[in-house]
Amino acid sequence: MLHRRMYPIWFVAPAFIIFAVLYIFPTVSGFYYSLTDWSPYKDNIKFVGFEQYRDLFQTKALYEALKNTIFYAAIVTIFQNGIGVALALFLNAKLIGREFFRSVFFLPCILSALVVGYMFSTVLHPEGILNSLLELVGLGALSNDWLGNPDLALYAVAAVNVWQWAGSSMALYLAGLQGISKELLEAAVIDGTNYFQRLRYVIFPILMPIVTISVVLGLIGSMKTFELIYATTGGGPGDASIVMNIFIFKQFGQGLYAYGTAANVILFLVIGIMSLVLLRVMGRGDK
Amino acid sequence: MMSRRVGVYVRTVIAAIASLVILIPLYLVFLGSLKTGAEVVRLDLSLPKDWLWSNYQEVFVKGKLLNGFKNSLIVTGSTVLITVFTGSMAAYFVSRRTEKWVGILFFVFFAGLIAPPSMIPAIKLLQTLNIAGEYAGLILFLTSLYLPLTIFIMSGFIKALPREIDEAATIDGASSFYLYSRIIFPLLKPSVATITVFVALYTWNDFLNTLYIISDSKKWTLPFSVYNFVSQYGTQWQYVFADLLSVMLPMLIVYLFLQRYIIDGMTAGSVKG
Amino acid sequence: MLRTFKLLTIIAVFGALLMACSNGNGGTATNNGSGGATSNNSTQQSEVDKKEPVTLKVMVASEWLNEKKWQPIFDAYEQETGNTIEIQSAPVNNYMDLVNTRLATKDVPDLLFYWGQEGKIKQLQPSKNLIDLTNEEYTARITPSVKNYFLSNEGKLYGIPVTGLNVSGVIYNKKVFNDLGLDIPTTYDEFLATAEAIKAAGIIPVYEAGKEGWPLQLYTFSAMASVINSQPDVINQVNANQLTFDQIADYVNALQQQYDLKSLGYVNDDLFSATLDMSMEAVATGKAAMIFQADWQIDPILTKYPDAEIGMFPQPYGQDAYAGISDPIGLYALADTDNSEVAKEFLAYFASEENLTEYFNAVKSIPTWTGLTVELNPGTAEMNEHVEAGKAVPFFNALTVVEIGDYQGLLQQLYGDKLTAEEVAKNLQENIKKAAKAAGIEGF
Repeated sequence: MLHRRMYPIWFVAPAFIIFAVLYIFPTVSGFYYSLTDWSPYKDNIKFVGFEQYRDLFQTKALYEALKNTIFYAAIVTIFQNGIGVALALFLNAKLIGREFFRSVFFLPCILSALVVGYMFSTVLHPEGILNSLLELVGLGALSNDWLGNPDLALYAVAAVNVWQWAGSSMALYLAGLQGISKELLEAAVIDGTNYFQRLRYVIFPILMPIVTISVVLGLIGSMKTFELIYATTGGGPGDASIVMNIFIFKQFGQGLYAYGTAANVILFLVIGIMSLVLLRVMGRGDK
Repeated sequence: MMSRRVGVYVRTVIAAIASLVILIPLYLVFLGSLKTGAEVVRLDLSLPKDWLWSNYQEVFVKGKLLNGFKNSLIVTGSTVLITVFTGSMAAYFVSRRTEKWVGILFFVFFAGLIAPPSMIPAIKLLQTLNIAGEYAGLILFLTSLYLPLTIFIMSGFIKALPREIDEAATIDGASSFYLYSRIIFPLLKPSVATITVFVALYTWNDFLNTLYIISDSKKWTLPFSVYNFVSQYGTQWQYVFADLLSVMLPMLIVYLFLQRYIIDGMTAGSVKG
Repeated sequence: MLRTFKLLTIIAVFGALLMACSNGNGGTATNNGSGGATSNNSTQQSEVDKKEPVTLKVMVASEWLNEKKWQPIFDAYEQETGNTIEIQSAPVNNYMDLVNTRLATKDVPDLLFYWGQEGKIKQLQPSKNLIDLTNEEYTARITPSVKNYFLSNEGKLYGIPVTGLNVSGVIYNKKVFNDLGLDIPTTYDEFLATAEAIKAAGIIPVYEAGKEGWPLQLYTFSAMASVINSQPDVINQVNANQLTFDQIADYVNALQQQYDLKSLGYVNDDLFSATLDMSMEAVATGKAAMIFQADWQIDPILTKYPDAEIGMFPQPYGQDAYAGISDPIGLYALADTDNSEVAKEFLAYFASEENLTEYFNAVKSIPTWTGLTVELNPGTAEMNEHVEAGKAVPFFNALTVVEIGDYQGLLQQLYGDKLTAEEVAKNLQENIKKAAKAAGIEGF
């Protein structure tokens, strides 16, 4: 009783109404279309059951795209959060111009995918500044056609993704670190712990909910990547860096609307399962 | 004492070097925005022969940046306000109530993070509600798009606040709303500031959703301006860069402003433990 | 405080709903004077001959708008008639999907710039959505081959061509050829010999813009022009699903030849990171001798590199050299909008001999309309001789009954050793099969 008075329903009503009407309804209708022969060629749409899915599962390109998407997401999530945590810890300590540096590392998040795409198409070009830099420090042997080499393209774009979004993970972790009381840390110092022990026994446990959020969000976001990859490699060269959303985009580009929507449903299910598993595994430390 | 000072300097130097990774590519784009068409095709850090600040003027006029800015302000401002306001309350509800159906509700919101919106049904729905092609339609659509993110992130931060606070305040006679607005919300300032920045960012840079929902070109937001300078056979990169940097500037200011707030909120946000 | 906040929440929710309900005159812009008022209006207007200024909504791809030089015609029209042209543009990569969406949600413009390929036009459901222009006065003045191959669906013409007839071939650096004493090759063997001579001189024979993607298609588009000329029925058979692309020996051969250019060292090393800009620079400065392109590229090259000496010749295949014709961009009028009549007037305005002559002289492209005297760009003039001699055939992707899908991606995989020539053809066929099934084409 008290419970319900303390947290009444009208707190959640506005958000739920907006969300249910404008998001749930169109998305579910969208899913329905995957069971039809929807296309721009004709107006009357026929129900065809799972035919689109059957066609999809026989397409090699789907598996390529799925495989790439999962690799990409794994790499990006791990590195983005790893670097994000390191940055947050680093920039939480005392140094000159701390606020300036925090802004600098967050800066890339503000850029649109277009800018980042153009930027790195230039930087990662065989004659671009990354290779020039490598040659300058004597590592010229490592220079490569980062975005144009089919074997490297996917990883190169993953690196660009981390470049852009590590700052957002950093921001989340920084916010979380502010919630750790100074007294607790000072008590730990007095108790004679070193930095790494403090990290492990004081900081990380309190940070865990944020880590869960950041990792799950990172996973979902990177599995759904479209604009960044489209702006850097377009899925190329020749499908080397194709991910699910680019695959779907191409299907829509050929007027294969129902087929593309079916692929979207598959992506949704894959991401759903992966994130639920992750939430379960990571959330356990939460209770 | 000495090692502390050295530590500060060492860390500063490391940070400075690391920040070059961020700053150099940006510098490249910045330089490019000041070059001529032939110069800008080169891929190095060469300086432009003349620093063509006039490129920005051209972009401002031809890209109709003032109009775009006004429109972006309307859309982003409204979306952020509605999303953060309704989303934080919803997050609070979902994090504190323990019934099973609330857990399912959370799950439904969470699914919104993953599920892709289908534009044609969405637009038809907006048409039924008579807000298609209007700011209201776009704003509400974007709100529904970013509510899951808001609820998800804020839930995490709310869960970090112990229930004892709620119980103590309620025993003292606080109503549900007083508890939320006067006690809980101030403690959430760092996360509210954080989520505000994110929602503002995504909305400001939104292109595809706006493209589909708004068909009146007078209502277009800043991200559209760059397409005045692209062509299949001869894009004018110097203008593209100038435009993209100009569009980014307001968001930079927003972040700088809010970033202070995130840090200052730290005293309010620390939890006694 | 509580009251204020509760009030704010209620306002937020109901404000949102109010915004939704009260916007009766918002909605879509085509809702002017809809509903029961139209019948009254039309009788009134036919009695009183007053001309109220009309706003024509026009959709176009941003890139086209920026480079095709239609603005003077828009300006002149607005001046003369007092009507306004309201332009909605979107980047070309999103354009097709956006147009399809607008049609599906019935938020249609009055005029639409769109591709001229039948496979794309089909997606607009032309018999339902577009005005049939077959019997208009100006239709007779459109170049016959253009009417025949493009801008139509099922025998009816729906759009007027608003760009020139762009032809594909080889854009070459005249200075390099002159310095090395090379003649223009007319057979494929001569072409290979020419490439060898250029390579020996330390210059890149052919610069392919692999990163850009779409230029890679031009090689086979040109080659297939020769093939289709000698085997005219080939595409018809594909369209009836009686023949598949991997069964067309000459097609697979052309793909193989394109790949072989790389193994023979006739193509630039940085193929996969080469952009269009770089290919322009290469042929303009003499770093490379040739690029496989279409004459639409000549104007941009000369704009950026005014001193470049470039020309164009048709690309040889086997013993022949035919030019491929790209589909022109068309301007279509949407049926059943409030401004349909005015839209049709605009089409007639664009199609006036005066405007067309002015336009084609501005872009220096081969006209898609008959009876015009136009001064052409250097390379274009050379190619026009071949067009007038009848040695030009449309790109095969304009002749297929549906779109061919992501062809450039397949070609990138060909160059990248991920697919063989035959596999490329098979994948192409798969794309066609899927699209044809979705379009309900008989036989698939």
